[in-house]
Amino acid sequence: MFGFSFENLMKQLFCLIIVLTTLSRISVAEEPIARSAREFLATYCLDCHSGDTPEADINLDVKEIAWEKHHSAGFWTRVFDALKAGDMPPANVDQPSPKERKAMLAWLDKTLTKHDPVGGTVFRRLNRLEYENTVRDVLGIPFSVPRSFPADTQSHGFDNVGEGLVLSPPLMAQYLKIATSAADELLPPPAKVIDVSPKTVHIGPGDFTLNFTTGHEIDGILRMVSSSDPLARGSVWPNRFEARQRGIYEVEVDISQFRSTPGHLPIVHLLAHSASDQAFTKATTLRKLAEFKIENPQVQTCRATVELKRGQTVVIHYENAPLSSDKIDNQEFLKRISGQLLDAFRNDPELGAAWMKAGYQRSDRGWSWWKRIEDIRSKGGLDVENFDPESDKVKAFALQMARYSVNTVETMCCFRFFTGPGIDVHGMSINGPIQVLEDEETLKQKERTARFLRERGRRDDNAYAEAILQPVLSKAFRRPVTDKQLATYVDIVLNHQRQGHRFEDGIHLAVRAALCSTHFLFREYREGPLDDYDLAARLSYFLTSSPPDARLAKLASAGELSNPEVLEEETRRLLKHNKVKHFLESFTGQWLDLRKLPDIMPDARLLKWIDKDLQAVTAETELFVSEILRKNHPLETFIDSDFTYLNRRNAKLYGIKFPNSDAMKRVNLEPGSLRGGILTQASVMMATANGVDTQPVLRGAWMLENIFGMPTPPPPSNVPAVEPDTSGAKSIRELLDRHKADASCARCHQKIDPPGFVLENFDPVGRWRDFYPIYEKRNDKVVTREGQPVDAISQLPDGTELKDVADLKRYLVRNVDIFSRCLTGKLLTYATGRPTSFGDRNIIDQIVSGVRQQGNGFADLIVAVVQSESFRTK
Amino acid sequence: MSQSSTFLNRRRFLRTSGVALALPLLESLLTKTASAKDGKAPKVKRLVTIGTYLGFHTPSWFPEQTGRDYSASPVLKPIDDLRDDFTIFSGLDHRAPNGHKNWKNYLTGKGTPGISLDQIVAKAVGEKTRFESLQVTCGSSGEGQMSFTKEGIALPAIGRPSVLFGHLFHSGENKARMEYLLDSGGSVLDVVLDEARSLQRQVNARDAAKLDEYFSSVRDVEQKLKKQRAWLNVPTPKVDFKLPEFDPVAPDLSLECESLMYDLMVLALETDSTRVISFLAPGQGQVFTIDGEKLSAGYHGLSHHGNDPDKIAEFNAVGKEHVSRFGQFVRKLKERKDSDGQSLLDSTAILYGSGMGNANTHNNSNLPVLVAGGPFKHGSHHAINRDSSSAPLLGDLFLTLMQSMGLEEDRFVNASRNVNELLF
Repeated sequence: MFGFSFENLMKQLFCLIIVLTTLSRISVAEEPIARSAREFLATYCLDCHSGDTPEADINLDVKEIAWEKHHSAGFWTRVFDALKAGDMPPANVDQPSPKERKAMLAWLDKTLTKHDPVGGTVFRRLNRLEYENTVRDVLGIPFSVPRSFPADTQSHGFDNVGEGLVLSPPLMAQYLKIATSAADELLPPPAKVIDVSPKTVHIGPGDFTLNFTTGHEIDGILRMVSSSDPLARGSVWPNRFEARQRGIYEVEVDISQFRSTPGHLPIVHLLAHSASDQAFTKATTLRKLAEFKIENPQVQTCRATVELKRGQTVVIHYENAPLSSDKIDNQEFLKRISGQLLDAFRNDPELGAAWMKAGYQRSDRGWSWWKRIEDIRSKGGLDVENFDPESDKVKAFALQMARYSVNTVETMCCFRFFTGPGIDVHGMSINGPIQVLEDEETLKQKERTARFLRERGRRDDNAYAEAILQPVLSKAFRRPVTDKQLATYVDIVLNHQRQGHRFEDGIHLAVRAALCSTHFLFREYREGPLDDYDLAARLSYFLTSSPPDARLAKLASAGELSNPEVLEEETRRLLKHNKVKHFLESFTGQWLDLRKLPDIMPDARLLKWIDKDLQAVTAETELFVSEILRKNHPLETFIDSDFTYLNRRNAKLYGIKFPNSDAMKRVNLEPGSLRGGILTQASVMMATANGVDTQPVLRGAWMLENIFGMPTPPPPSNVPAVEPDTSGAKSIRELLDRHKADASCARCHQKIDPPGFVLENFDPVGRWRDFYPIYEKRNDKVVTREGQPVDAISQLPDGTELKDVADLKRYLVRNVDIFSRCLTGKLLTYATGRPTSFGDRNIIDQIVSGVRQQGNGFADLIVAVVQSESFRTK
Repeated sequence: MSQSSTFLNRRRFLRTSGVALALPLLESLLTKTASAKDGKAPKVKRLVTIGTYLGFHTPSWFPEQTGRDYSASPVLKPIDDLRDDFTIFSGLDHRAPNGHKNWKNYLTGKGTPGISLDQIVAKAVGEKTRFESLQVTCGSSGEGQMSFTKEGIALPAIGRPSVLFGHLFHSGENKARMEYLLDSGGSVLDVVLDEARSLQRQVNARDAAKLDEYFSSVRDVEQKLKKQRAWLNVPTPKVDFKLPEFDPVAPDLSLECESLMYDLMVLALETDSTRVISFLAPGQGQVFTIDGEKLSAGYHGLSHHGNDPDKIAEFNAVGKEHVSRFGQFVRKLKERKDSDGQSLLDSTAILYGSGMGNANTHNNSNLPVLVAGGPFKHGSHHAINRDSSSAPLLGDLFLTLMQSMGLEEDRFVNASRNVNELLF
């Protein structure tokens, strides 16, 4: 029946080979559980953990373990941890003898170490930040990803973990598009020809863009009275002129003084502004084209020959107008504006009396407020006789008006349009370009192109293409390009040429291909210990989110980087590099959830919060972590410190006296201050709340995950979250006491709740509180009164009493290894792009104890992480 | 050399047969959908979604009466002659949070970031046209507010009339460059696919799965390039339209820009360049001149009118300017015919309104919205009682719009019904 032939045999052999190779790729299929282990499980575990509805969804009634399944290692690690910690079996059931427990743990340890070894990072795509830095560094071009570039998702807490870095069609489309525009930067396509013959544009007083009260057309002129920095509050520009080409333009503006006060000589600036740009751009950020002193009330023609870039227009800014809504310092602002108002009232008491009668109504601003005041004045019957601008009452009124800041300044513009001081713009003309200039960008591009293409010399096309592509491909692929690879890319060039395109077009095409290549977009596919090139890349992306620099590439090619001494030296070099800012932003931003802060948007009214507070709160933690790294402070500093970084905003939040300044400053904290260390920084308190109220369970779970390194399983889906009772009738603790009553809740909550409760003294933005607030609405205003007192006392599972957050910090400093292990695990996950495995545990323990013996410095920890087997394995 | 010769062959295939194949295919698609003779084909072929950033004074927008015999509200007066071509809704919103930042919920429903209505529709009907969808605004301040991909990425909008015109009816010079980039772009993908294939033989199973993401993404992009390439050979329509010499991008000229953009949108629909357009009329502090008079305050300032009647009157003056430009747009769609000889308006559904319910308080509930065009039963003002537990949401209106276009969607974020009984 069965014909036997050599051909058939070969076919079968071939199939077998395929099966074998496929099998060898997957670590191991299913492995039976040892008999002794199964007996242990049957005796002590299966009563609860078996059947259709096993306790906590953990079914241990299995004969074998499918290790290739994604979740198996995590599942059995949980079993190991519960058994080791003595959490399981629960106290109310039969307990194994210490010997039995030890034997079971030994089996689990052996099996897990085998099946969840060190290594296993999934082929890692560059994330958004890494990609941006890599395109820029490899090609040496200015580059940022477009706004439409897809964001990455976090996996195991970070957005650079292999599993989470999915490649989707929209992202691939972006890669291709960016490859073209990046190649264009090096080898630009032939420029378009545009008509650049000079033209004169006349701009009448009515042809300017006005925003709010930036100008007022009156008697055939345009009057200006404000020097506010944002263009929409203090400047005008022609609405139908923009430079067609970078070049030299002649500008003429007819301007005169309007009722200038003695000693005030108006100064006008002409500024270059992109015609289609946002109107809230600030004048101080724009390039000054010319400056004029407006000497007298007669029309003066101001002439300037200026350089404009394509798309730019000319802004008129009354640089030294006494009236301005700019606010550098609040006290100064209130004094200045109320003073100017009082001056106006002195000159025109009737205006004062009318304004006082009008008062401020919601949304009053600019012309509409002014009209209301004028209406009152025109009705007459004002008691001008008794209006005294020197009286306390009027002074207080002026001060109150000044508090309506921009609204009031706009309205003051309205009367200054009639009283001055101001300037009158009678017209403007722009002629040009009288000389065409090559764009600065084009000039830079030409230099770049020359550098990239280098000298051809006497090379033929093949050799020339090799000479250009060899260095750029090696940089792009982060290892020397192989001869075969180089030949493929050179072929692209030569084939393209053969199809009738220019040599440069061929190079352009090869660069585009390289930027879409898997060797560029992904890293680390070689199994086992990293070779020097993969090591260079892993180190460089870990600490700088950028590709290896020339020095790392050189050390890698010499095979020296894997030498531990060299590796340490390079790690310390990168830690001092400016680019370590990427590590600080990216790692700290994700570990401590600083990146989430902008989305929290605390309730401004309830929590007396303003958006600017966020800058201070974020900067404090960034600067704090940066110093710990730079100065190699011990890890205990994260928990408790005698310094922090403040400006007036977070200082106010903390109730610490501080000068009235927005500049962040390093500050030594009073002994015993609660604010040392990250646990009590406003950033962390914000990240662990929701912007309205606090939930001790969420804070506690966050602390366990990010400080204690003991992630807890998510809450059971059938239990609703505890909602804070805002009426103040019940304390949160009473609501949460249920956790203690139910044994299955208590197992996790005895760990989660204590650090959460201890932090209840901190409100959702990190302010200290002794009482929970009760908010009440009175006459459209929210009034806060004291509710239940905060009860922060708690007890850790090991019996340690915590009466306040200082106790928690003391506990963590005394047991700093708990925190060090957590931080080391986070660093390893971030650096290797994979969650830590069972096999990593011993290595982490070694790192932690080794670093502690050296003085526990943060920089030393990073060096130890880099030297570890975990870091150096794919 | 063998490597490159295979990609040459593939290229040659695309260049010769690919285009030749693609063209009739596109044409047959066009005629098939356009003729819609089988009776089952959806009657609505196009969707235009329009948003006004600062919204309207809703008491001046919603008519006082409901039903058919309402008297025109002050803001909607400029389009009262068209009342049988649109339906006004009050009481609709997404039950989403308030504030300028949440304006983006207008087309995405409660819970940004998510995909916007226009992009859901574009995915379903965009295949057939040169542009899957267009995003249009005036100047640069209105970018990134209306249209979002399913990944929650804001789509950039075109704010210069000259750029939109060039995009739709591009010049020969642009065309040559695009042709070149598309052809060579295809060959780039061939090379990197070859590389990835040789890599795949060296990696473990989990890494191979990652590489599969790469393969399928590249294939998807290849399809898109092919489609774009085929379209390049279909000549862009010749239109009789003269662009002004100067793009009115200055903020105080945004109403002028709005008129131009509406005209170009009519052309885009008439030439079947796209079937999905979203348009955002932006608003900042610009001081408008209306009927030769400068308004007394900046637009944004007017929107925070504080219930001052004078300010409301001026805010409404700007609102009426928006509405009358919209009216012009509708009238033009009514006059022009599509390839079936049907009026463009009858086969185009238009959502007009704002993601801002009340700019004075930054409130995003009870949004001003109306639906125009399409085969709907128009002419009424439907007041939805928001307090009723069975009150439909704005998302339910979206579902009706999508279903009228033949999309089998029965959920939109928090909405799962429709308002068919009000429109059919």
